[in-house]
Amino acid sequence: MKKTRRLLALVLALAMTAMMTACGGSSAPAETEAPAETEAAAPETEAPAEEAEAPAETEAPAEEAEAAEEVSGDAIPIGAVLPLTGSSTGEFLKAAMEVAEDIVNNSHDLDWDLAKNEGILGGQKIKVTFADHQASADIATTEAANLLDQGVVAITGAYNSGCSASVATQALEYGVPMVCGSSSSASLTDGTTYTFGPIFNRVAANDEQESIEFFEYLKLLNEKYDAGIKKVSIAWINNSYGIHADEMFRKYAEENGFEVAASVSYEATATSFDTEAAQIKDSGADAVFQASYIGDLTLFAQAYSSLEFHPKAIVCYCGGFQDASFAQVAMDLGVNAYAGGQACTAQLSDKLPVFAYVNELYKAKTGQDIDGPALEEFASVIIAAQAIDAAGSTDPEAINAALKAGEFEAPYLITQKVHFDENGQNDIMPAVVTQLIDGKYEVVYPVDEYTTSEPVVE
Amino acid sequence: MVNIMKKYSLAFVMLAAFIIIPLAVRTTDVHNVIIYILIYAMVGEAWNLITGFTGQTSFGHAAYFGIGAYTSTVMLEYFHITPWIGMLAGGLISAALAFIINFKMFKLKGHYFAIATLCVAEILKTIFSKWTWVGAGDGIALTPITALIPDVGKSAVAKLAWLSLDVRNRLPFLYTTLAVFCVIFIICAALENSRIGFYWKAIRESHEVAESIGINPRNYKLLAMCLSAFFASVGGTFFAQFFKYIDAITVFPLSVSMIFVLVTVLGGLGNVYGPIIGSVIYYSLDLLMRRLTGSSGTGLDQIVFGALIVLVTCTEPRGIMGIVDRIRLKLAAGKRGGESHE
Repeated sequence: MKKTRRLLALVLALAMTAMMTACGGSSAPAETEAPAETEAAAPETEAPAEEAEAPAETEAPAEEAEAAEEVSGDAIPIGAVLPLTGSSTGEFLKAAMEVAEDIVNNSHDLDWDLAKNEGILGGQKIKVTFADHQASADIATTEAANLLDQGVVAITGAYNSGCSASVATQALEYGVPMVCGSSSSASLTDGTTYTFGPIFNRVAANDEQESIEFFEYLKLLNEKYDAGIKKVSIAWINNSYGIHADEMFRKYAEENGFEVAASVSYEATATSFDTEAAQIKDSGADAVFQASYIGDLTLFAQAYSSLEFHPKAIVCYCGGFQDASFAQVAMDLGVNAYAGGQACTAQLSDKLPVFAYVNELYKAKTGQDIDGPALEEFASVIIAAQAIDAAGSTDPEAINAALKAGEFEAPYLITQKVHFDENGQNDIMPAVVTQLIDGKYEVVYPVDEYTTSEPVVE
Repeated sequence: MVNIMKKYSLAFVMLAAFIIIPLAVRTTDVHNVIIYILIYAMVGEAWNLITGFTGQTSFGHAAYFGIGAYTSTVMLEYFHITPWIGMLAGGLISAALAFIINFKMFKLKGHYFAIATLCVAEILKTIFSKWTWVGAGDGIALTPITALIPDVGKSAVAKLAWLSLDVRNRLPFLYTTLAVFCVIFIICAALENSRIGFYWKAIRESHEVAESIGINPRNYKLLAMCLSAFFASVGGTFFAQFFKYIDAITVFPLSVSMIFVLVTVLGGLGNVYGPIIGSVIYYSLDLLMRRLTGSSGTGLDQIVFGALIVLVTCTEPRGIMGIVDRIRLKLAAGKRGGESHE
């Protein structure tokens, strides 16, 4: 009996450890796990405390539970599956979607019909019902099925690429369209990896679109600012996101005449990147690309600084760079080299009044400016509502046809509109290159009326 | 026959429930949860063979689960071979791997063996996450067999959804999973009460005593491990077919191995009912808590489940079945006491 008890004690300890780990997610864990491990990422963990106050005033957990249980009567039901447990990210995305719901349902003093009018289809409101996938792809499957059983006419989410694939797979079974906001893995819309293309639509830029833009940006740095960038290296996380980023990086580096000095992969579960950072430094790269989430990017940034490695540019594929807490990390390290894609930035508030208005509503809920993924999730709800309106019906098939056929007004984005290609990718380049200059996301490329700053070459 | 019915009355009640509930509650949500319950109970039964019956604690059963998932997926995606054959192939590969690895590893005792099994799963996770032929970190998404082989769609065979393991026909898939679970349950129950089962239990209680009565512990433990690996692999095949996408991080991590451990320990270690009871509680509670807490993101389901595990293991190390046994004994004792008073 003593032996059995000892065995059980060991089992119990391991089980609890594994459960805690599982809280952080499995399929695409880095967004959720790493911040707590780093001092630099502390602002992110503090943010929800501020944020918790605002949503709590309007919606208590018990009310949320009821909302999750049943989709309200006359309102048009839209589902949203997000990682609400294990990290603050999901709560920020949820806040952005609630702002979108508010914009659609209530009249706002904006030069935008959707915001000006109350509701869609002649005054019907929408109701976004949230579900928590806990960054786990199998929970995403059951949560999506539950929402679809409740009769949602469109589904959004799911942030983590693996979870988005699970949700879309379920949505395909029901023939309900999915508008995916911020998942970036190219495989979601490559038309070959998955079969859910006919119902899938993604707002965010994918790795290929970003690669094209990034190398154009490097060429600009060379031509206009004499940066002398010849050799480029990449550090990428070994998952769907990182693999495709690396693939596109190599393809476009070669096409644009840059020498690939090193390609360094790392595991999502790693807790130190000193070796990988040293490999990148030793490659002699003039510019470094990163396909990393917030935790790993923060650790890489610290490792680069401690190694006194200062490349001319550090270009990031979405992920951690877009997390508002990374701005503080870069500022604390005194590095201005970080650049990456963003759907929009607070620096453009003067030029984009609708974006500025949305940002204010979001800020009132969360206490911080809206970041790239949150804006993309906001867009996903807005586009779902626009598609329902365009379809003139709540029939999922008609909504899907409207999504595939139409072009959607998006005055909150620099591009002003969104259009999905046959595989569901937003083919109007949905991001600009921003550089973190003194902790602010400044638009540095393309050079047009939305450019907010000249690039800084370190 | 009456004796069997009486002895396995709980099994028959559960079987009836598993048949009736999916027909009575026709929501995909409930069907999904029942499928998860059956898949994890399948692997729980496998884990119970080696840990519950033989006393060798394994924390690496995700290794065999993952091999089953990968083998059937690769055979289906790359060679267009039905998952039924993939399932058998995966099972055989897992059993062979279990034999090779554990032939030497069984020399390790107690916690050292447990840690070694954990390492095997971690090594496989790393290999599969780097191996480009199986998709590396990108994983493999499953194409339904009917879409993969156009002619199959027209054949009479394809119309029987369970033959193609096509998850889109959810009820047939659920009942197929149930049937396979029943087969595994029956084999495990038969083994528990067989000569081999008694040898396993003897080895669990004392190697020395087992050896003194002519039992070769290593051979019998190897047999248990190979069978266990085979069944875990079958569970992996069903998981891959159900989930339609696998990568190393989904099927090989410690957290997956721990689910097998948790459901079995909760239900009752060394009891053939343990894994299914534990799995039912685990997933029903998980679903209930998620529905009750909605989108509040409190993680209440995990907190409640953790507390339940602590409570059960502190009060009754034999899990829920131990509590059931205790109640049954008390009732029987009460009845006997009542009779003697009369």
